[in-house]
Amino acid sequence: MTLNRRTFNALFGATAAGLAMPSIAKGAGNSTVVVIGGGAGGATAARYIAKDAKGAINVVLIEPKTHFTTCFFSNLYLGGLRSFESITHSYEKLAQEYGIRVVHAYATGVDRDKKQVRIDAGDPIPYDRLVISPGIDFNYDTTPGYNAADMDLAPSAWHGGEQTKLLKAKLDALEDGQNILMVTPPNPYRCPPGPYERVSMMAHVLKSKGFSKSRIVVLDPKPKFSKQGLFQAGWEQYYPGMVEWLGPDVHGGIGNIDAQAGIVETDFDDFAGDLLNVIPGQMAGKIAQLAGLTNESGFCEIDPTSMRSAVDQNIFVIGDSSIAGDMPKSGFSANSQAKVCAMHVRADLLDSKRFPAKYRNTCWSLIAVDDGVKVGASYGATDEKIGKTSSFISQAGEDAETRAATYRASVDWYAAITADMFG
Amino acid sequence: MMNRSAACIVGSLVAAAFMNQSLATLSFANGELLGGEILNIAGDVDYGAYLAGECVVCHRAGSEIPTLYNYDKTYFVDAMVRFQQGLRKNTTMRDIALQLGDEEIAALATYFERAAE
Repeated sequence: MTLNRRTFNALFGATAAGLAMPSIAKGAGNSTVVVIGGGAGGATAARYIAKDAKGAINVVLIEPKTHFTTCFFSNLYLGGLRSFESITHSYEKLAQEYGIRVVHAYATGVDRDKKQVRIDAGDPIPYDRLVISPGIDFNYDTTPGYNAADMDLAPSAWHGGEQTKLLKAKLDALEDGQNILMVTPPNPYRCPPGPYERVSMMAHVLKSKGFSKSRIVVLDPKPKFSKQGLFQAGWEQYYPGMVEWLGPDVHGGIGNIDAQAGIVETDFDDFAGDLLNVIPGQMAGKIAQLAGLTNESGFCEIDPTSMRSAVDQNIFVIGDSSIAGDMPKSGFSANSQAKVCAMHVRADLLDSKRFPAKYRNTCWSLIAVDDGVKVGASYGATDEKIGKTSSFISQAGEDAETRAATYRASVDWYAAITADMFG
Repeated sequence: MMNRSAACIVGSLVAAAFMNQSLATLSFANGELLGGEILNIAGDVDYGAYLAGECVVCHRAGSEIPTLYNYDKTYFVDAMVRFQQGLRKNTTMRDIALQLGDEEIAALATYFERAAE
Protein backbone atom coordinates (compact mmCIF):
# COMPACT_ATOMS: atom_id res chain seq x y z
CA MET A 1 0.00 0.00 0.00
CA THR A 2 1.31 3.40 -0.93
CA LEU A 3 0.70 6.12 1.59
CA ASN A 4 -0.33 9.39 0.01
CA ARG A 5 -0.73 12.45 2.14
CA ARG A 6 -4.41 11.96 2.73
CA THR A 7 -4.31 8.33 3.77
CA PHE A 8 -1.29 9.05 5.92
CA ASN A 9 -3.12 11.86 7.64
CA ALA A 10 -6.26 9.82 8.03
CA LEU A 11 -4.38 6.94 9.60
CA PHE A 12 -2.05 9.04 11.64
CA GLY A 13 -4.79 11.44 12.70
CA ALA A 14 -7.00 8.59 13.84
CA THR A 15 -4.16 7.08 15.85
CA ALA A 16 -3.31 10.38 17.44
CA ALA A 17 -6.94 11.03 18.34
CA GLY A 18 -7.11 7.57 19.88
CA LEU A 19 -4.14 8.37 22.05
CA ALA A 20 -5.57 11.77 22.94
CA MET A 21 -2.48 13.48 21.57
CA PRO A 22 -4.07 15.88 19.15
CA SER A 23 -0.98 18.03 18.76
CA ILE A 24 0.75 15.15 17.01
CA ALA A 25 -2.06 15.02 14.50
CA LYS A 26 -1.09 18.41 13.15
CA GLY A 27 0.82 17.38 10.08
CA ALA A 28 3.30 19.93 8.82
CA GLY A 29 2.01 19.57 5.26
CA ASN A 30 -1.65 19.91 6.17
CA SER A 31 -3.86 22.71 4.99
CA THR A 32 -4.81 25.25 7.64
CA VAL A 33 -8.24 26.66 8.34
CA VAL A 34 -8.42 29.76 10.51
CA VAL A 35 -11.72 30.53 12.22
CA ILE A 36 -12.31 34.02 13.62
CA GLY A 37 -14.85 34.12 16.43
CA GLY A 38 -15.65 31.42 18.98
CA GLY A 39 -19.43 31.74 19.20
CA ALA A 40 -22.24 29.61 17.82
CA GLY A 41 -20.91 29.89 14.27
CA GLY A 42 -17.16 29.82 14.76
CA ALA A 43 -16.89 27.24 17.53
CA THR A 44 -19.21 24.89 15.62
CA ALA A 45 -17.31 25.34 12.35
CA ALA A 46 -13.96 24.76 14.05
CA ARG A 47 -15.21 21.66 15.81
CA TYR A 48 -16.88 20.12 12.75
CA ILE A 49 -13.90 20.75 10.49
CA ALA A 50 -11.50 19.27 13.04
CA LYS A 51 -13.79 16.37 13.93
CA ASP A 52 -14.56 15.33 10.36
CA ALA A 53 -11.09 15.94 8.91
CA LYS A 54 -9.65 13.59 11.56
CA GLY A 55 -6.34 15.40 11.75
CA ALA A 56 -5.97 16.11 8.03
CA ILE A 57 -6.64 19.83 8.44
CA ASN A 58 -5.00 22.12 10.98
CA VAL A 59 -7.68 24.27 12.64
CA VAL A 60 -6.89 27.54 14.38
CA LEU A 61 -9.63 29.33 16.34
CA ILE A 62 -9.04 33.01 17.11
CA GLU A 63 -11.18 34.23 20.00
CA PRO A 64 -10.16 36.86 22.54
CA LYS A 65 -12.18 35.46 25.43
CA THR A 66 -11.08 32.40 27.36
CA HIS A 67 -14.71 31.64 28.27
CA PHE A 68 -17.77 32.27 26.19
CA THR A 69 -21.09 33.37 27.68
CA THR A 70 -23.93 32.73 25.28
CA CYS A 71 -26.36 35.47 24.38
CA PHE A 72 -29.05 32.85 23.97
CA PHE A 73 -30.49 31.96 27.39
CA SER A 74 -28.99 35.15 28.87
CA ASN A 75 -32.56 36.35 29.37
CA LEU A 76 -33.16 33.33 31.60
CA TYR A 77 -30.19 34.44 33.67
CA LEU A 78 -31.75 37.91 33.88
CA GLY A 79 -34.97 36.27 35.05
CA GLY A 80 -33.18 34.32 37.75
CA LEU A 81 -33.87 30.97 36.09
CA ARG A 82 -30.26 30.15 35.10
CA SER A 83 -26.91 30.82 36.73
CA PHE A 84 -24.24 32.80 34.91
CA GLU A 85 -21.98 29.75 35.08
CA SER A 86 -24.58 27.62 33.32
CA ILE A 87 -24.44 29.85 30.24
CA THR A 88 -20.64 30.18 30.24
CA HIS A 89 -18.43 27.71 28.40
CA SER A 90 -14.75 26.88 28.06
CA TYR A 91 -12.70 26.22 24.92
CA GLU A 92 -10.64 23.53 26.65
CA LYS A 93 -12.31 20.56 24.97
CA LEU A 94 -11.90 22.07 21.53
CA ALA A 95 -8.17 22.34 22.20
CA GLN A 96 -7.63 19.11 24.08
CA GLU A 97 -10.03 16.69 22.42
CA TYR A 98 -10.19 18.08 18.88
CA GLY A 99 -6.65 19.35 18.48
CA ILE A 100 -7.79 22.87 17.64
CA ARG A 101 -5.21 25.58 18.26
CA VAL A 102 -7.17 28.17 20.23
CA VAL A 103 -5.53 31.59 20.06
CA HIS A 104 -6.86 34.08 22.58
CA ALA A 105 -6.28 37.31 20.68
CA TYR A 106 -8.17 39.89 18.66
CA ALA A 107 -8.07 39.53 14.89
CA THR A 108 -7.06 43.01 13.75
CA GLY A 109 -7.02 42.54 10.00
CA VAL A 110 -7.03 40.13 7.08
CA ASP A 111 -4.45 40.28 4.30
CA ARG A 112 -6.46 38.53 1.61
CA ASP A 113 -3.62 38.51 -0.94
CA LYS A 114 -1.16 36.87 1.42
CA LYS A 115 -3.96 34.84 3.03
CA GLN A 116 -2.99 35.85 6.55
CA VAL A 117 -4.91 37.02 9.61
CA ARG A 118 -3.25 39.70 11.71
CA ILE A 119 -3.77 39.50 15.47
CA ASP A 120 -3.02 41.91 18.30
CA ALA A 121 -0.83 39.47 20.20
CA GLY A 122 1.49 37.50 17.95
CA ASP A 123 2.59 36.86 14.40
CA PRO A 124 0.12 36.84 11.50
CA ILE A 125 -1.57 33.47 11.05
CA PRO A 126 -1.63 32.06 7.49
CA TYR A 127 -4.66 30.23 6.17
CA ASP A 128 -5.79 28.16 3.21
CA ARG A 129 -9.41 28.81 4.08
CA LEU A 130 -10.74 31.44 6.48
CA VAL A 131 -14.05 31.26 8.31
CA ILE A 132 -15.28 34.56 9.72
CA SER A 133 -17.94 34.47 12.43
CA PRO A 134 -17.49 37.60 14.53
CA GLY A 135 -21.14 38.20 15.40
CA ILE A 136 -22.40 41.76 15.41
CA ASP A 137 -21.12 45.23 16.08
CA PHE A 138 -23.31 48.22 16.80
CA ASN A 139 -24.37 50.96 14.44
CA TYR A 140 -24.79 53.96 16.74
CA ASP A 141 -26.36 56.02 13.96
CA THR A 142 -29.62 54.41 15.08
CA THR A 143 -29.29 55.69 18.66
CA PRO A 144 -28.55 59.44 18.58
CA GLY A 145 -26.64 60.53 21.67
CA TYR A 146 -25.87 56.97 22.71
CA ASN A 147 -22.58 55.21 21.93
CA ALA A 148 -20.09 52.68 23.30
CA ALA A 149 -19.09 55.00 26.15
CA ASP A 150 -22.64 54.76 27.55
CA MET A 151 -22.64 50.97 27.86
CA ASP A 152 -21.85 51.09 31.57
CA LEU A 153 -24.64 53.53 32.35
CA ALA A 154 -27.21 52.00 30.04
CA PRO A 155 -26.08 48.50 29.08
CA SER A 156 -27.20 47.01 25.82
CA ALA A 157 -26.36 43.50 27.02
CA TRP A 158 -26.57 42.39 23.39
CA HIS A 159 -23.12 40.86 23.66
CA GLY A 160 -23.06 38.07 26.24
CA GLY A 161 -20.87 38.25 29.34
CA GLU A 162 -20.09 41.32 31.43
CA GLN A 163 -22.87 43.40 29.86
CA THR A 164 -25.38 40.72 30.79
CA LYS A 165 -24.11 40.74 34.38
CA LEU A 166 -24.31 44.51 34.52
CA LEU A 167 -27.90 44.59 33.29
CA LYS A 168 -28.89 41.97 35.85
CA ALA A 169 -27.24 43.92 38.66
CA LYS A 170 -29.17 47.03 37.65
CA LEU A 171 -32.40 45.05 37.33
CA ASP A 172 -31.98 43.46 40.76
CA ALA A 173 -31.24 46.87 42.34
CA LEU A 174 -34.56 48.38 41.27
CA GLU A 175 -37.12 49.25 43.93
CA ASP A 176 -40.88 49.18 43.57
CA GLY A 177 -42.00 52.23 41.65
CA GLN A 178 -38.80 52.53 39.65
CA ASN A 179 -39.24 51.99 35.93
CA ILE A 180 -37.43 50.28 33.10
CA LEU A 181 -37.10 52.02 29.74
CA MET A 182 -35.99 49.95 26.82
CA VAL A 183 -35.04 50.95 23.27
CA THR A 184 -35.16 48.01 20.89
CA PRO A 185 -33.20 47.80 17.62
CA PRO A 186 -34.31 48.22 14.01
CA ASN A 187 -34.11 45.25 11.65
CA PRO A 188 -31.94 43.35 10.95
CA TYR A 189 -30.55 42.40 14.33
CA ARG A 190 -29.39 39.41 16.36
CA CYS A 191 -32.16 37.29 17.90
CA PRO A 192 -35.45 38.82 16.68
CA PRO A 193 -37.58 37.67 19.67
CA GLY A 194 -34.76 38.39 22.15
CA PRO A 195 -35.77 41.90 23.25
CA TYR A 196 -39.31 40.76 23.97
CA GLU A 197 -38.24 37.68 25.88
CA ARG A 198 -36.06 40.09 27.86
CA VAL A 199 -39.11 42.22 28.62
CA SER A 200 -40.87 39.07 29.83
CA MET A 201 -38.02 37.99 32.08
CA MET A 202 -37.54 41.48 33.55
CA ALA A 203 -41.29 41.61 34.24
CA HIS A 204 -41.02 38.19 35.86
CA VAL A 205 -38.36 39.54 38.24
CA LEU A 206 -40.43 42.60 39.16
CA LYS A 207 -43.56 40.49 39.69
CA SER A 208 -41.65 37.91 41.76
CA LYS A 209 -40.56 40.68 44.11
CA GLY A 210 -44.17 41.76 44.53
CA PHE A 211 -43.63 45.08 42.80
CA SER A 212 -46.92 46.72 41.86
CA LYS A 213 -45.83 50.21 40.83
CA SER A 214 -42.89 49.58 38.47
CA ARG A 215 -43.45 49.67 34.72
CA ILE A 216 -41.52 48.57 31.64
CA VAL A 217 -41.83 50.89 28.64
CA VAL A 218 -40.53 49.64 25.31
CA LEU A 219 -39.74 52.17 22.58
CA ASP A 220 -39.57 50.22 19.34
CA PRO A 221 -38.46 51.61 15.97
CA LYS A 222 -40.33 48.75 14.29
CA PRO A 223 -44.11 48.64 13.71
CA LYS A 224 -44.22 44.92 14.53
CA PHE A 225 -41.97 42.27 16.03
CA SER A 226 -41.32 38.53 16.21
CA LYS A 227 -44.01 36.45 17.95
CA GLN A 228 -45.80 39.71 18.77
CA GLY A 229 -49.21 38.16 19.40
CA LEU A 230 -47.78 35.49 21.69
CA PHE A 231 -45.71 37.95 23.69
CA GLN A 232 -48.42 40.56 24.08
CA ALA A 233 -50.97 37.94 25.15
CA GLY A 234 -48.44 36.63 27.67
CA TRP A 235 -47.70 40.10 29.07
CA GLU A 236 -51.42 40.67 29.53
CA GLN A 237 -51.85 37.28 31.20
CA TYR A 238 -48.87 37.31 33.56
CA TYR A 239 -47.92 40.94 34.01
CA PRO A 240 -51.13 42.95 33.50
CA GLY A 241 -50.52 46.67 33.27
CA MET A 242 -46.78 46.35 33.73
CA VAL A 243 -45.56 46.38 30.11
CA GLU A 244 -46.21 49.18 27.64
CA TRP A 245 -44.95 48.61 24.08
CA LEU A 246 -44.89 51.68 21.86
CA GLY A 247 -44.29 51.37 18.13
CA PRO A 248 -43.32 54.18 15.76
CA ASP A 249 -46.95 55.06 15.03
CA VAL A 250 -47.18 56.14 18.68
CA HIS A 251 -43.77 57.64 19.49
CA GLY A 252 -43.14 58.96 15.99
CA GLY A 253 -39.41 58.25 15.98
CA ILE A 254 -36.61 57.90 18.51
CA GLY A 255 -34.58 61.04 19.08
CA ASN A 256 -31.78 61.86 21.46
CA ILE A 257 -30.84 59.34 24.14
CA ASP A 258 -29.33 60.73 27.36
CA ALA A 259 -27.89 57.74 29.18
CA GLN A 260 -26.75 59.84 32.17
CA ALA A 261 -30.21 61.24 32.78
CA GLY A 262 -32.03 58.08 31.70
CA ILE A 263 -34.14 60.04 29.22
CA VAL A 264 -35.09 59.16 25.66
CA GLU A 265 -36.63 61.83 23.46
CA THR A 266 -39.15 60.88 20.81
CA ASP A 267 -41.27 62.88 18.40
CA PHE A 268 -44.22 62.26 20.71
CA ASP A 269 -42.77 62.84 24.17
CA ASP A 270 -39.74 62.38 26.43
CA PHE A 271 -39.55 59.10 28.31
CA ALA A 272 -37.59 58.48 31.51
CA GLY A 273 -36.38 55.25 33.09
CA ASP A 274 -34.46 54.36 36.23
CA LEU A 275 -33.01 51.48 34.28
CA LEU A 276 -32.25 52.27 30.65
CA ASN A 277 -31.58 49.35 28.31
CA VAL A 278 -30.61 50.49 24.82
CA ILE A 279 -30.03 47.98 22.01
CA PRO A 280 -28.58 49.85 19.02
CA GLY A 281 -28.89 48.86 15.38
CA GLN A 282 -26.41 46.32 14.18
CA MET A 283 -23.90 45.45 11.48
CA ALA A 284 -21.30 42.78 10.82
CA GLY A 285 -18.50 42.36 13.35
CA LYS A 286 -15.66 44.80 12.79
CA ILE A 287 -13.19 42.27 11.40
CA ALA A 288 -15.61 41.49 8.56
CA GLN A 289 -15.66 45.18 7.71
CA LEU A 290 -11.86 45.47 7.97
CA ALA A 291 -11.47 42.47 5.67
CA GLY A 292 -13.54 44.25 3.04
CA LEU A 293 -16.28 41.62 3.04
CA THR A 294 -19.29 43.82 3.82
CA ASN A 295 -21.56 45.61 1.37
CA GLU A 296 -23.54 48.83 1.79
CA SER A 297 -25.91 47.07 4.21
CA GLY A 298 -23.06 46.57 6.69
CA PHE A 299 -23.30 42.78 6.38
CA CYS A 300 -21.58 40.20 4.17
CA GLU A 301 -22.96 38.70 0.99
CA ILE A 302 -22.53 34.95 0.74
CA ASP A 303 -23.18 32.15 -1.73
CA PRO A 304 -26.36 30.53 -0.35
CA THR A 305 -25.20 27.05 -1.35
CA SER A 306 -22.06 27.15 0.80
CA MET A 307 -21.79 30.30 2.99
CA ARG A 308 -18.73 31.24 0.92
CA SER A 309 -18.09 34.99 0.74
CA ALA A 310 -19.34 36.58 -2.47
CA VAL A 311 -16.11 38.58 -2.71
CA ASP A 312 -13.39 36.06 -1.76
CA GLN A 313 -13.45 32.36 -2.65
CA ASN A 314 -11.07 31.48 0.19
CA ILE A 315 -13.31 32.98 2.87
CA PHE A 316 -16.60 31.87 4.38
CA VAL A 317 -18.79 34.18 6.46
CA ILE A 318 -21.28 32.59 8.86
CA GLY A 319 -23.59 33.69 11.63
CA ASP A 320 -24.84 37.19 12.38
CA SER A 321 -22.36 38.89 10.03
CA SER A 322 -23.70 37.13 6.95
CA ILE A 323 -26.64 38.07 4.76
CA ALA A 324 -28.47 34.79 5.17
CA GLY A 325 -31.64 35.52 3.22
CA ASP A 326 -34.72 34.41 5.07
CA MET A 327 -32.81 33.10 8.09
CA PRO A 328 -32.92 35.18 11.26
CA LYS A 329 -29.70 36.07 13.02
CA SER A 330 -29.56 33.55 15.85
CA GLY A 331 -27.23 31.09 17.55
CA PHE A 332 -29.20 28.23 16.02
CA SER A 333 -28.85 29.74 12.53
CA ALA A 334 -25.12 30.29 13.00
CA ASN A 335 -24.65 26.69 14.16
CA SER A 336 -26.61 25.44 11.14
CA GLN A 337 -24.65 27.61 8.70
CA ALA A 338 -21.39 26.42 10.27
CA LYS A 339 -22.15 22.84 9.25
CA VAL A 340 -22.76 23.78 5.62
CA CYS A 341 -19.57 25.84 5.69
CA ALA A 342 -17.56 23.03 7.32
CA MET A 343 -18.70 20.56 4.66
CA HIS A 344 -17.50 22.87 1.87
CA VAL A 345 -14.23 23.72 3.59
CA ARG A 346 -13.41 20.03 3.85
CA ALA A 347 -14.46 19.45 0.25
CA ASP A 348 -12.21 22.32 -0.87
CA LEU A 349 -9.19 20.95 0.96
CA LEU A 350 -9.72 17.18 1.07
CA ASP A 351 -12.00 16.52 -1.92
CA SER A 352 -14.70 15.11 0.36
CA LYS A 353 -18.30 14.98 -0.88
CA ARG A 354 -20.52 18.02 -1.16
CA PHE A 355 -24.24 17.78 -0.46
CA PRO A 356 -27.07 20.27 -1.01
CA ALA A 357 -27.17 22.90 1.71
CA LYS A 358 -29.90 22.44 4.30
CA TYR A 359 -30.38 25.04 6.99
CA ARG A 360 -32.61 25.20 10.01
CA ASN A 361 -33.50 27.53 12.83
CA THR A 362 -35.73 27.49 15.87
CA CYS A 363 -36.09 30.42 18.26
CA TRP A 364 -37.51 29.54 21.65
CA SER A 365 -38.69 32.26 24.02
CA LEU A 366 -39.82 32.11 27.60
CA ILE A 367 -42.75 34.36 28.48
CA ALA A 368 -43.15 33.21 32.09
CA VAL A 369 -41.94 30.26 34.14
CA ASP A 370 -42.85 27.09 32.21
CA ASP A 371 -44.54 29.06 29.43
CA GLY A 372 -42.31 28.62 26.39
CA VAL A 373 -43.09 29.43 22.77
CA LYS A 374 -41.19 28.71 19.59
CA VAL A 375 -40.92 29.73 15.97
CA GLY A 376 -38.89 27.71 13.52
CA ALA A 377 -38.24 27.07 9.87
CA SER A 378 -36.28 25.05 7.33
CA TYR A 379 -34.30 26.70 4.57
CA GLY A 380 -32.51 25.84 1.36
CA ALA A 381 -30.45 27.61 -1.28
CA THR A 382 -32.26 29.29 -4.17
CA ASP A 383 -30.55 31.13 -7.02
CA GLU A 384 -30.74 34.39 -5.12
CA LYS A 385 -30.63 33.64 -1.41
CA ILE A 386 -31.19 31.24 1.45
CA GLY A 387 -34.94 30.78 1.15
CA LYS A 388 -37.49 29.47 3.61
CA THR A 389 -39.02 26.12 2.65
CA SER A 390 -41.37 25.62 5.61
CA SER A 391 -42.09 27.03 9.03
CA PHE A 392 -44.09 26.67 12.20
CA ILE A 393 -44.96 28.81 15.21
CA SER A 394 -46.55 28.21 18.61
CA GLN A 395 -50.24 28.94 18.63
CA ALA A 396 -52.18 31.30 20.86
CA GLY A 397 -54.16 29.54 23.55
CA GLU A 398 -52.03 26.40 23.75
CA ASP A 399 -52.53 24.41 26.97
CA ALA A 400 -50.10 24.69 29.86
CA GLU A 401 -48.51 21.28 29.23
CA THR A 402 -47.73 22.17 25.62
CA ARG A 403 -46.06 25.40 26.73
CA ALA A 404 -44.17 23.60 29.52
CA ALA A 405 -43.00 20.95 27.04
CA THR A 406 -41.80 23.68 24.68
CA TYR A 407 -39.76 25.18 27.50
CA ARG A 408 -38.29 21.79 28.43
CA ALA A 409 -37.37 21.27 24.76
CA SER A 410 -35.54 24.59 24.78
CA VAL A 411 -33.55 23.52 27.84
CA ASP A 412 -32.59 20.28 26.09
CA TRP A 413 -31.68 22.25 22.97
CA TYR A 414 -29.42 24.52 25.00
CA ALA A 415 -27.51 21.56 26.40
CA ALA A 416 -27.25 19.98 22.96
CA ILE A 417 -26.19 23.04 20.98
CA THR A 418 -23.55 24.08 23.49
CA ALA A 419 -22.17 20.52 23.41
CA ASP A 420 -22.25 20.76 19.61
CA MET A 421 -20.26 24.00 19.80
CA PHE A 422 -17.75 23.27 22.52
CA GLY A 423 -17.57 19.46 22.56
CA MET B 1 -46.52 -4.99 27.69
CA MET B 2 -43.60 -4.50 25.35
CA ASN B 3 -41.34 -1.54 26.03
CA ARG B 4 -39.80 0.54 23.25
CA SER B 5 -36.44 -1.24 23.23
CA ALA B 6 -38.07 -4.60 22.96
CA ALA B 7 -40.38 -3.29 20.28
CA CYS B 8 -37.37 -1.96 18.36
CA ILE B 9 -35.64 -5.30 18.46
CA VAL B 10 -38.74 -7.15 17.35
CA GLY B 11 -39.34 -4.46 14.72
CA SER B 12 -35.84 -4.94 13.34
CA LEU B 13 -36.26 -8.66 13.12
CA VAL B 14 -39.61 -8.32 11.43
CA ALA B 15 -38.24 -5.72 9.03
CA ALA B 16 -35.20 -7.83 8.23
CA ALA B 17 -37.36 -10.83 7.54
CA PHE B 18 -39.63 -8.92 5.18
CA MET B 19 -37.02 -6.58 3.69
CA ASN B 20 -37.14 -8.12 0.23
CA GLN B 21 -40.89 -7.91 -0.06
CA SER B 22 -40.93 -4.11 -0.45
CA LEU B 23 -43.83 -3.75 1.89
CA ALA B 24 -44.92 -0.22 2.63
CA THR B 25 -46.03 -1.25 6.06
CA LEU B 26 -45.18 -4.12 8.30
CA SER B 27 -47.16 -5.36 11.22
CA PHE B 28 -45.69 -6.21 14.56
CA ALA B 29 -46.79 -6.56 18.12
CA ASN B 30 -46.84 -2.83 18.85
CA GLY B 31 -48.90 -1.88 15.81
CA GLU B 32 -47.97 -1.03 12.24
CA LEU B 33 -44.36 -0.36 11.34
CA LEU B 34 -44.21 2.25 8.60
CA GLY B 35 -41.69 3.05 5.90
CA GLY B 36 -40.69 -0.43 4.82
CA GLU B 37 -39.88 0.81 1.33
CA ILE B 38 -37.35 3.28 2.76
CA LEU B 39 -35.52 0.42 4.45
CA ASN B 40 -34.85 -1.01 0.99
CA ILE B 41 -32.81 2.08 0.07
CA ALA B 42 -29.09 1.79 0.72
CA GLY B 43 -28.47 4.89 2.83
CA ASP B 44 -25.41 7.05 2.05
CA VAL B 45 -23.54 7.22 5.36
CA ASP B 46 -21.62 10.37 4.42
CA TYR B 47 -24.85 12.11 3.50
CA GLY B 48 -26.36 10.89 6.74
CA ALA B 49 -23.42 12.24 8.71
CA TYR B 50 -23.92 15.64 7.12
CA LEU B 51 -27.69 15.68 7.64
CA ALA B 52 -27.26 14.52 11.24
CA GLY B 53 -25.79 17.91 12.08
CA GLU B 54 -29.35 19.20 12.12
CA CYS B 55 -30.50 16.50 14.55
CA VAL B 56 -27.76 16.62 17.15
CA VAL B 57 -28.38 20.27 17.90
CA CYS B 58 -31.38 19.06 19.95
CA HIS B 59 -31.06 15.29 20.36
CA ARG B 60 -28.64 14.30 23.07
CA ALA B 61 -28.02 11.48 25.53
CA GLY B 62 -29.58 12.04 28.94
CA SER B 63 -32.16 14.50 27.70
CA GLU B 64 -35.91 14.31 27.12
CA ILE B 65 -35.12 14.66 23.41
CA PRO B 66 -33.41 11.29 23.01
CA THR B 67 -30.03 10.63 21.45
CA LEU B 68 -30.25 9.12 17.98
CA TYR B 69 -26.87 7.42 18.05
CA ASN B 70 -27.07 3.64 17.83
CA TYR B 71 -30.74 4.12 17.07
CA ASP B 72 -32.63 1.22 15.61
CA LYS B 73 -32.93 1.89 11.87
CA THR B 74 -36.38 0.41 11.55
CA TYR B 75 -37.77 2.44 14.39
CA PHE B 76 -36.07 5.60 13.08
CA VAL B 77 -37.71 5.21 9.68
CA ASP B 78 -41.07 4.40 11.24
CA ALA B 79 -40.87 7.49 13.42
CA MET B 80 -40.00 9.80 10.53
CA VAL B 81 -42.84 8.48 8.40
CA ARG B 82 -45.24 8.88 11.31
CA PHE B 83 -44.17 12.52 11.70
CA GLN B 84 -44.64 13.05 7.96
CA GLN B 85 -48.13 11.57 8.07
CA GLY B 86 -49.14 13.51 11.16
CA LEU B 87 -49.51 10.35 13.22
CA ARG B 88 -46.96 11.79 15.63
CA LYS B 89 -47.74 15.35 16.59
CA ASN B 90 -44.55 17.20 17.61
CA THR B 91 -44.68 20.33 15.44
CA THR B 92 -40.91 20.72 15.22
CA MET B 93 -40.34 17.13 14.19
CA ARG B 94 -43.24 17.15 11.77
CA ASP B 95 -41.80 20.21 10.03
CA ILE B 96 -38.35 18.62 9.89
CA ALA B 97 -39.62 15.25 8.64
CA LEU B 98 -41.62 16.86 5.86
CA GLN B 99 -38.40 18.39 4.53
CA LEU B 100 -36.78 14.97 4.14
CA GLY B 101 -37.12 12.70 1.14
CA ASP B 102 -36.81 8.92 1.27
CA GLU B 103 -33.11 9.02 0.33
CA GLU B 104 -32.41 11.41 3.17
CA ILE B 105 -34.32 9.40 5.75
CA ALA B 106 -32.47 6.27 4.62
CA ALA B 107 -29.13 8.11 4.87
CA LEU B 108 -29.90 9.34 8.38
CA ALA B 109 -31.19 5.97 9.55
CA THR B 110 -28.08 4.23 8.23
CA TYR B 111 -25.74 6.79 9.77
CA PHE B 112 -27.32 6.82 13.19
CA GLU B 113 -27.55 3.04 13.45
CA ARG B 114 -23.81 2.76 12.85
CA ALA B 115 -22.51 5.82 14.65
CA ALA B 116 -21.54 6.11 18.29
CA GLU B 117 -21.98 9.41 20.10
